[in-house]
Amino acid sequence: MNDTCVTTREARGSQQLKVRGLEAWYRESQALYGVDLDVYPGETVSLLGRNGVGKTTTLRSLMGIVRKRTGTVEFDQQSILRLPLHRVARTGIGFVPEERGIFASLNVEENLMLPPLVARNGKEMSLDEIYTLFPNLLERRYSPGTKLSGGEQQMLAIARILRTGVSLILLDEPTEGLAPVIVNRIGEMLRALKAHGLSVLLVEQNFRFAARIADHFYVMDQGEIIDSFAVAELPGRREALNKALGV
Amino acid sequence: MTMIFGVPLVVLTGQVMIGLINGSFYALLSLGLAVIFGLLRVVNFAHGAFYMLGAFVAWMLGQYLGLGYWGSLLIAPIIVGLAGALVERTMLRRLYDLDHLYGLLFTFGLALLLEGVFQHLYGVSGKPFSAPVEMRGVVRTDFVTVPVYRGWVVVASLLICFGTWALIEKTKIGSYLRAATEDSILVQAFGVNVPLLLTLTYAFGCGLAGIAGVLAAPIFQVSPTMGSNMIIIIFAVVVVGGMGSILGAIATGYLLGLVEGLTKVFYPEAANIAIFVIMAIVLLLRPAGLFGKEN
Ligand SMILES: Nc1ncnc2c1ncn2[C@@H]1O[C@H](COP(=O)(O)OP(=O)(O)OP(=O)(O)O)[C@@H](O)[C@H]1O
Ligand SMILES: [Mg+2]
Repeated sequence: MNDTCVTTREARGSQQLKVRGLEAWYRESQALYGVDLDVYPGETVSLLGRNGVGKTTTLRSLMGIVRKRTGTVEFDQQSILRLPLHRVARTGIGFVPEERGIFASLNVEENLMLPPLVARNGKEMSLDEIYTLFPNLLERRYSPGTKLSGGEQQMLAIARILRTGVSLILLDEPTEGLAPVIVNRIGEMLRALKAHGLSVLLVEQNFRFAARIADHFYVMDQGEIIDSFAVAELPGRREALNKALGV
Repeated sequence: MTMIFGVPLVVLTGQVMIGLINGSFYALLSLGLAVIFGLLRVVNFAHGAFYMLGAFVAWMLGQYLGLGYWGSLLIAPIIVGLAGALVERTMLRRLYDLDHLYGLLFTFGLALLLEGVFQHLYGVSGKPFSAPVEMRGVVRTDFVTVPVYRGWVVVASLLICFGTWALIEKTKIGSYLRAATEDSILVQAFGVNVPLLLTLTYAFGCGLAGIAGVLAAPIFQVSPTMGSNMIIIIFAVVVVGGMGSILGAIATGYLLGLVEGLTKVFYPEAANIAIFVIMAIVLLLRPAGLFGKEN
């Protein structure tokens, strides 16, 4: 890592999320082999890697959805590895799953209101603010959640986490399968989140998208982090990256 | 005398009333079964036993504490619900990670245990339980004769079924239940205490069975076997309606009660098997049930 990067990260204070030696299993089969990563307050960190290397598993393990884990996971200096699943969100972490997790038996507004508030810290968005930001959701608030288009569902999945006042969002491939216009919209959204002071751990296959938004990058392969660098180092890394991502 | 299809109108409406009353119990019981199955994925074989428990607790409240019908109608379902919560907390929840068959076997065993205990304590013969004094009359008109208490059962069951539907479809806690029925892990990851929701849901479903038991006590007798007689029919109702749907469970309950009642008028020999014949036909034509989603 070069010096500008180190000072930039440190200028943000101490790690908000600190992960060391995280290993995880699906029953007997190991999926993570010692993941180390940090997210600093207000930072957007992107986790890159080819299909099936363990990006989703990393997020699910941090959140506590995958239960069989060892290692260290600290959020705001508090160990969250042993918390029951429903207590993790209340520490201030929100999760937007890869399949978006919009509920068919709930209408759009019920989907929005589903996750309980975890904090009143000025980071939570009111329903009004969300509807101002996403007029489509207001228009369709009484339709079943799954009747929305893919892009709208993604917006809904992110918006409902914004309502809760979390300070870190785990975001799994938000641009997957979406048209370029919508991808741009989501990019704008993520920049707005950043301006709002939220930290984001963003899993992406769309490297060009991640490159426009993230402050720091981790590259994963076969359940391990194999590279870590700041956005400033990106130009010199292109080649190695393309190789690691198999582009 | 007015006749319809060669049957006196009063006889016909009388059977429709009986069908509605049976349907009221079918609806209340299959509703609870469907709610429990939707969230917990447990086929609650003990549902009939909790129905019996409701009737017995009401009888015991009257016998030992002198509590009247209305007090029992309020308290007995709460006691049954608490018993359900205790069962879920201490035993049933240990089985969620195992094959669904274990939940079914466990609740089946629990049903046998409860029935056995009450048979041991109170014998097999029924205990009489009278309707409240203000409901002992009969309403007689030209077309129909209805004992007041039976009319009350139909009204109460409709109110409770509709109230439950509204609770699930229109409230915040209902939205947790619907969402957790789709993906309980994600709902818990959002910070909802899903283990508590499971306990409450099981307790609520058992409480509904308890209410049905109290309502039934003055009509049928209070006996240890009243639940096992009922549960077979309830499973047929649930199979016909399809497991997933709340409104489906309610509608199918009343519908099959009516069909059963009308069969008694037009072809009495088949009355006891009408529901099972319908079940067989539905299984052949629409295995997911009338209101279930095919997949
Ligand atoms: N529920 C599961 N049970 C068993 N193994 C799983 C499960 N989910 C994922 N795996 C395995 O764990 C490994 C990592 O999968 P994961 O979904 O984390 O990859 P990913 O990096 O998110 O991939 P993608 O880019 O395709 O989303 C893969 O080998 C996968 O087959
Ligand atoms: Mg993935």
